Amino acid sequence: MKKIGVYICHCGTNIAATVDCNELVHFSSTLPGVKVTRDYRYLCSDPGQDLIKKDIRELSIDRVVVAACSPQMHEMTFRNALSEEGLNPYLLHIANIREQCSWVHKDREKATEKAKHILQAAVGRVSHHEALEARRVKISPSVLIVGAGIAGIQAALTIVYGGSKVFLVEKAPYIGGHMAQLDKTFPTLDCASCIFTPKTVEVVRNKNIQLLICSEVVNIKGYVGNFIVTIKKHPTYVDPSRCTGCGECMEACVLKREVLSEFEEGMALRRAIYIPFPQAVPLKAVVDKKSCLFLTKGKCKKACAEACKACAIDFDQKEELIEKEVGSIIIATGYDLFDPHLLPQYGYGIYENVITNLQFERLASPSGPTEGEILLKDGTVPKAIAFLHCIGSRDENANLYCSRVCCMASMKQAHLAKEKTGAEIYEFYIDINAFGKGYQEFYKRVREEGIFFIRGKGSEIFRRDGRLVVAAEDTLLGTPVEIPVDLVVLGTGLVSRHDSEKVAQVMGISLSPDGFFMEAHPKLRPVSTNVDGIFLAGCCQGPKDIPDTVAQASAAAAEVMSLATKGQIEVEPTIAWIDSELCAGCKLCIEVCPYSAIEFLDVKGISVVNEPLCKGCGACTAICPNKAARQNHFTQGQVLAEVEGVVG
Amino acid sequence: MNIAVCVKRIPKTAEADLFIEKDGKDIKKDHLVFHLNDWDSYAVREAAILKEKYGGTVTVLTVGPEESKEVLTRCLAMGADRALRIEKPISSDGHLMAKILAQAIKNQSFDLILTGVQAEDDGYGQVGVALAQMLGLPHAAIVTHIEIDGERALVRRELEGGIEEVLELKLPAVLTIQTGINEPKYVSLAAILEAEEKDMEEIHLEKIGLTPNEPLDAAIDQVFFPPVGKMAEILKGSPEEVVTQLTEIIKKKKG
Amino acid sequence: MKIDPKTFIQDYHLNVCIQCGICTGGCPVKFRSPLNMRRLVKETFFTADPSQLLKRPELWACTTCSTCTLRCPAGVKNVELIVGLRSILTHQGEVPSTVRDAFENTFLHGNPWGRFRDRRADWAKDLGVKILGEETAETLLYVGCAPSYDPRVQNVSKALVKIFQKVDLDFGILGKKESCCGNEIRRMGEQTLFKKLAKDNLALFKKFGLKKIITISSHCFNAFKNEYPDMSIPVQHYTQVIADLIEIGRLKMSKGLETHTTYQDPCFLGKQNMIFEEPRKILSPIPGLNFIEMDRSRERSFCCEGGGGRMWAEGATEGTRNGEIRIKEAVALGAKVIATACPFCLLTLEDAAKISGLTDQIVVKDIAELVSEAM
Repeated sequence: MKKIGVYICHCGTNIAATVDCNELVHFSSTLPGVKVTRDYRYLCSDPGQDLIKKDIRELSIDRVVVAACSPQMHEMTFRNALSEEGLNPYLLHIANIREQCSWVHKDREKATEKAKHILQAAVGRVSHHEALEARRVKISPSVLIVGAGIAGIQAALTIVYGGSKVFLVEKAPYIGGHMAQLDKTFPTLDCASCIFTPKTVEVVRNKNIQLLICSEVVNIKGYVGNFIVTIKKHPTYVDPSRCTGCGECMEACVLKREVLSEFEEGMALRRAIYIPFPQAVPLKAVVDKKSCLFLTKGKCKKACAEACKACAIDFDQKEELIEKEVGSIIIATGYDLFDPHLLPQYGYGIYENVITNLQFERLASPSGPTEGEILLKDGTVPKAIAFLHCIGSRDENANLYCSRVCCMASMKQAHLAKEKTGAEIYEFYIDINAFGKGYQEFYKRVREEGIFFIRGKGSEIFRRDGRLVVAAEDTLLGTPVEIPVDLVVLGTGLVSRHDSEKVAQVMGISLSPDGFFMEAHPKLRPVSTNVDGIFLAGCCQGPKDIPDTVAQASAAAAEVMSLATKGQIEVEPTIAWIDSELCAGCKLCIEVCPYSAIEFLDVKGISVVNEPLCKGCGACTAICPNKAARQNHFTQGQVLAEVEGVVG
Repeated sequence: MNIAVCVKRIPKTAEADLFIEKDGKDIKKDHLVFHLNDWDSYAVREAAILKEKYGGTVTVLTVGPEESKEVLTRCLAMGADRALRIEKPISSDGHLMAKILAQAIKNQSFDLILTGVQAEDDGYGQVGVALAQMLGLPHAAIVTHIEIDGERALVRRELEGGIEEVLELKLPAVLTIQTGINEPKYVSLAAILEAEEKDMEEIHLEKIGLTPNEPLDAAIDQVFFPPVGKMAEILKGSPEEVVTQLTEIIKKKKG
Repeated sequence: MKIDPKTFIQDYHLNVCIQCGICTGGCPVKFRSPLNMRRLVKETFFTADPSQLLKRPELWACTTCSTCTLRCPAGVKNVELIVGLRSILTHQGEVPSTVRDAFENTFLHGNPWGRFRDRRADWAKDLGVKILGEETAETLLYVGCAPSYDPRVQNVSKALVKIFQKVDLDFGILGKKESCCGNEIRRMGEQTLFKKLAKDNLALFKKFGLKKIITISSHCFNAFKNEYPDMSIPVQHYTQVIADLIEIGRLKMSKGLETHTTYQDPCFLGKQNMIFEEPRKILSPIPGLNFIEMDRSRERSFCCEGGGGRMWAEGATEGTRNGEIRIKEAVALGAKVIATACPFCLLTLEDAAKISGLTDQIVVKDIAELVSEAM
């Protein structure tokens, strides 16, 4: 006969205000197997836990039910309490009478009735609990970092300094991500390239970082500490060990219909074989197979190969699939820019002098298409420039969230524009988001420089008398305005990468409603995901500036390092197993397993669970016609006893 | 002050195709759109304005068939408090109408009785004035402005050429109201639907001691279309030529 | 029917407004009238007594083009707020006298112009058009009030009939049974009258077992498509029908028109219903018609000030009308013809051409007229 101890928590007034705990105590003592029932104000506290421990010691309690908040909160706490008294932690069950009862109902009588059923279910179930041992898994010390922007780079460098190896996978032919496209950064006006070049150079130099450019992660298998990742390395048709980055191939390329340069945000053209920009790291040429005449049509004299003195061009290069074993993964894939074609009232794509903030960044950049001068498409200097805030952000017609960085970016760009052109500059804003260190001071500086701030969101752009006109309202004066300018810079927001859904699927992680990757808890676990061992860093989790990106990358690196240092972790034993005596070898379980965690042994004609891969979802248990497949801690007896308690 | 307004439901005939009844004594009205007589509408509005200024009640009366209830509803929506429909006799003769209204009104105490100057359909212009005579009350016709001062009304009457006559009458009195005396407010359909809920009195002629077949002093002999005139003659040519032709025609016609 | 201004905050989401001013910034009458939508939202939100707000004549200046509502980043229902305020005024009878007449005429005669119902189908007298009720057809050509009664717009109706008959498109019209669609009536605030018109029209459509409705006016199209409750019959604007006919090769336009033509996107067709391509797909293939796009086109088309009751009220507007600005823009572009697909745009632009003294430089034509000429 089991000796069940039932402990009912008041949780202050969270539970006690709606559920009659005294009545619950009386009820509990009538349930079969219950040896002792106690109630307490805050069971999770030390004295609360001591109540349970004392009963285990003195009353030989061998099953524990805690009626309190969600197991997500304190299951671990109480399991530890049991362990400390030598009782197997899986002989505990939590009856959630808070989130599932007192917090969602108002009627005291009905809520108490419901709590009784929940308690009854827990008591019924726990008598069927069996002792289980947690599995220990080794943590492989290597780390996979997906994305080599500033977040990925920061994380990689932190981790290798800690002694682990990093596989750094990057989709583009260069590292540095969007930060490489920036001119000066706010609020210090540091040159972006200058501050991060030491980091990018170190990435290439460091022997513990294996950098794979033009690569993507196509599959992962396994679990925390033991992931097997498959990386697809696209052919660049250039042998990096030979290429010197001299650029002669680019000059020689015969492609007449040049392609819009991605790095230059479409403001300049490139050929089929190209080096993305003169300071690219690694400084190697790559061939774009979509525009290369030889690769698409087979017709080209390959002038590039001829021009290459290092004989680095190799059109026989093939796609490679590389498998790596890693212990943890950091996703640092960055962001895409909102496409302003989606808001046609701004004339983007119609007027050539309406550009995005990233495009302006390329104009301002000394290595950009205009060598750092702010020029209109016809080469002249603008006399008036308008910066429109919140394009694609804080908008029911686009994205609801604020993109966080564009106010500062806009003001920084206004400052640069003023410095370079002396033009009349207008900032059309709704609110100024100058939240960070030095940001408000920068805002003041920009105002002191004579840039006009008009509080009113730009409504539309049209052309009149040869100039672009911004239609808006100066809401502080309460008058509508139509201001003629020469250049319009749209404060385009940040959106999640267009392939986020695919990446999330491959990784097994979730997306937040705003489309960015979802963190495990917005406040307390900002770099973890719902998958153990997979972490997030940078804008792929949500728009943020460089300081926050770097901080988050370091945080992700710290999480990874703490796993690696520990060397092993405990994993829940609540996985499935198949009774070999009962298995008929029908393979239905293999068909339904989402984690490919069940193997068929031909010799014996039965299915067997591959324990490390099993995540304990229960699908095989449900489908097995012979009841051969079972799940620890979710046996038929346990679940049915719980159901009886609920409906009985 | 208690005001009575006599109103009439009439058909709109502008632009409509008109047909003469078989007996030649009236036009066919089945296909026409009916509404509250324009002059009466001004009168009802004026009564509502006077009520706002001086307090009291407004009663609207009409002599008409069942369908006339819709104009009474409109008047209630415009601010009238009571509505009375008297079943119509066979004839629509104006003098008879005045007689019926007089019978209905004489035993009720009204300080002021308003009618429109005339009806849009027959344009007799006599009901208001005849009513005053039958009730033995002072009257003023074609009134464009009303002020009340205790037991007296100070009114303005419209004369030709923009001239106004100012009259003082002792109340109770009868006034026939001219269009333009006020700016009519819109009567929303919602207000009309609400007014439909209000009560209306309906009485037969017997109740006021009359019959549907009262003797008439005048009867319509015939209703007919005006004779179609000759088509207009269009003079063509240059201005000089046209002037020459025109002068010839005038000389011939001596006018 | 009680209209309680206290529900306005909920009904029109006034509390989500962030006062960004995108509404006022894009309003077509922002320089012509004191109407400031952003301020109106805030004032309505804060006022305990809306009677002061209701006294403003500029409430009648709004054309209900809906640019404000479409662009609002917070989801405020700006246009519906104006309609709500106008509904209170209507209920109180405090509307401009011209609006009053439009309402009363619609109630009595089924059209705001006050023209006799029996005359409604006179324009089609000798055109051999089927009248539903006397003959049957599954497709209704819903003519509309202006295309029925206004002599200038009647040309459009006639042109469209000619086109449909040329391609053997079977259709009927309601004739004198047709009543106003109510689009402008609703936008001017007479909700009860609108409901009645919708109810009566829907009953009529059902009675004739219609499978499809084609409208001439963009306003009627909008009413049937978006504002009639329980409208299950598919509705198309005639430009959608003609564009289709051209695409499948059933309508051939072989006569050249030899003229530079531009196009005014009507608010009720364009920005409110996103029908931008079809009119252009009709104009471009006309031989010789050199199509020039106006700068402010499609979503940025400049409202002609004909909609939302502006046919009947000025709303204290002052200065040069948008129509004149638009005509001048078209002329500066080098256009000799400005095409449109809405009777109100047609009338306001034509008036504007006359007032500007530019009738010798530009003519205003409906697309149906151009197609009919090019057939």
